[in-house]
Amino acid sequence: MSVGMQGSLFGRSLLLQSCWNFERMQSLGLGFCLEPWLARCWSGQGDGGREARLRHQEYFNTQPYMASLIVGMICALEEEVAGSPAAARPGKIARLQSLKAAAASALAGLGDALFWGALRPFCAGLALTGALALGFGSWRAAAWAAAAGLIAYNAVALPLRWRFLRRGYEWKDQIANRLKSWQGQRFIRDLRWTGLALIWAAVALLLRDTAPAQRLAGVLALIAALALRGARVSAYRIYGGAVLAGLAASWAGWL
Amino acid sequence: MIGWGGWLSPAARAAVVALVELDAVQVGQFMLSRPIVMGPLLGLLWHSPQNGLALGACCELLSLDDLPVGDRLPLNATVAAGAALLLTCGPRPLPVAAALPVGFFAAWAHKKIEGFWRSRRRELCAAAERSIREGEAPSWGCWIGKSLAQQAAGTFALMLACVWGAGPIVGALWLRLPHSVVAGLELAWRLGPWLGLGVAFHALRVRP
Repeated sequence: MSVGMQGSLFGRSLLLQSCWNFERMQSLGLGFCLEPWLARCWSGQGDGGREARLRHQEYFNTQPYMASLIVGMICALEEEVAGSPAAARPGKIARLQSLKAAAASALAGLGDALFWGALRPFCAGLALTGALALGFGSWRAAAWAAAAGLIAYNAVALPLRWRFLRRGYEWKDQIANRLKSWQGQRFIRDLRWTGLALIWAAVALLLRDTAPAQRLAGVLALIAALALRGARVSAYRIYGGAVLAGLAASWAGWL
Repeated sequence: MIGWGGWLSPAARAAVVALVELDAVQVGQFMLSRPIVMGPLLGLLWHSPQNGLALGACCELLSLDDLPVGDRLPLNATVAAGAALLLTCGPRPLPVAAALPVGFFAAWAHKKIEGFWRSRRRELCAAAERSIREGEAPSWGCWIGKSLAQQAAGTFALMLACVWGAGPIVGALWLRLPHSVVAGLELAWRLGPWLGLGVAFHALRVRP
């Protein structure tokens, strides 16, 4: 796979979810992403290209960043199918389809844990803690929050998405085995611990900036939110509960 | 008296929010649409960095463990922060304590709109399949453009409804609300960062 082709696939993979729907989820985006590769692999092979495009219009869904690995894998396997004799193709196509489905669900779990569960809270913690340290009301704090969140996140996510394309192409059906030796779980754990430390620092800074009379209410609200989220109450309902608590406190004459 | 410029400016701002919202799911997912980035950034652009940062941080923390896993459609934190910020920077600015609940309501309404579009987009899949079967060159650009335009138009219309509809109504109501209701909303806004930090602890404690 040339760098130009990798760039084209990467650019198109950014639109993977552009036509997300409940029926086939990311299938249309996947078709768009694979188009230049399929056109190259199947050029001059009659109906092969049409059938290849059709088989990627079936249901497909995974974590959008991890999709790069799967796109790379599909490219390698499609190349294999296109280069094999007609008699061997049905078996190879069946293998491609089952590997694609298995990788989509397995990698979705890993991607959710890494990007949504670790990197996103870490970046939010970094942006918030820095902003609080700089003085929350200042334009410098706002500029820091926007820049830190954006840069820290993309400094990890973009290179990974780019490299995943190449790795998926090289690893083919060995993705699961190769990922076992990757220190991803350790990276996720470290990121989550660092994120937790940043949130603790944000609490300390917020305590510093809060009037003494309001600190107790703040800490109680934090503990209540933690407990209620543990009981699966949505964060927005918790906010609504705070409005009702304020209403009751005002009626009781405490505010 | 508010002139045309005063009304058109919120429309342009609503269009900016609608475009940034595309980053949340459909285009790129560079985190540009996350409230902690979008809020301060738009706040700086619209000369309201403090409100932008405060609303962005609050919406970010409250939505931190609300994950878009599978076909789950969480409340859109981008829309919540964007709508609330538009209302605090509008021609008749609302207090932040009033703007944020309107933002949450807008996010809830957006969830319904997005659910509708997501159901409708299956027609694009059918069109793509039909076109490929018939041996035509797939019109990827047309399908993707249509999908993005629909989404952005829905978000833009909702933002306009907030600025031109909900904003003036809530602004007028705010002056007539009983003191206890205003005090309740203001207390919730003051506690917002603390509630958000509680949610953030939960997000980092429990693995998705």
